[in-house]
Amino acid sequence: MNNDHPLDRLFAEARLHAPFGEALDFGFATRLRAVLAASDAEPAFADLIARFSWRFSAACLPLAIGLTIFLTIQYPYSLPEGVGGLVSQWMELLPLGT
Amino acid sequence: MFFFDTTRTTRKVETEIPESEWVARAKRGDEDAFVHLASVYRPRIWSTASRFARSRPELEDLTQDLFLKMWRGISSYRSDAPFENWVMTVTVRGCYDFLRSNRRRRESETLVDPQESRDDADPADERARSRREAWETVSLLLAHLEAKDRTVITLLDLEERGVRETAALTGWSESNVKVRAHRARKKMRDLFHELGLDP
Repeated sequence: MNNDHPLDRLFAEARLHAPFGEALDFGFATRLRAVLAASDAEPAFADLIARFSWRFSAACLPLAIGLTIFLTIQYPYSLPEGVGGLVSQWMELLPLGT
Repeated sequence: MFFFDTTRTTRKVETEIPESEWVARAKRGDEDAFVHLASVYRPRIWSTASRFARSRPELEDLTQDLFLKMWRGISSYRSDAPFENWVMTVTVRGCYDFLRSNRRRRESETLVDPQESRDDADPADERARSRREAWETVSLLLAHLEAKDRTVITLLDLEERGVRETAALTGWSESNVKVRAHRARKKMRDLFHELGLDP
């Protein structure tokens, strides 16, 4: 890098700047111990579900496709034909009093 | 016997324990030993991490994450290299991960320098203002670089580390570091002219 370039002077100046001041010692050990304790704690059930949620969502699509194919093969004559058939089949399940 | 100052004695004993002993204790899961090591290395970690953060709260979070990584990984530390090297390696790689994972968010955020108001309140402090402005300009230029390039430039030009040390800290080859530094500096120079920052 050319030493006469203004960028070098910028680096030299920026090097001397401590943007966020010094690290404060007050309460450091307590905060660190709290973080370490939290990291060592057993995760709750909800945390475990949340951790795996993205994997579930990725697995849902092939599972749904597989389930559809399985049902189509198992019940080839009882599945509704088209959207109209699907609606009328579901309508039968509604307690409409007819 | 009851008037014996135990605090002072404990402090004296603590300073006499060699670092290798603290590290060995921390590796065995001694939290007190780890906290001691963390407070010894904190200024160095803070200084390096401050080159990657955009605000003090972000810097606090980043350093806390780094300490957590060290606590989780200290059992993998092998005593054949200085402990400081291991600490700085975890720091630099953690900062690089931080840059990668926060890149999109960082592009939409502005730099928050708490010293800004203090410098402005004291117009006589031209030197400090000049340094702050230089830091802001460098941060602006660095924000346009990829995370890898930014890490290399930060270590070489802001931390004044050598190519070999940068390669060791990042885990990239020396030739990779040199090529990245060359490209990144060229990009920064071009951007410097494009933005009309020439004096």
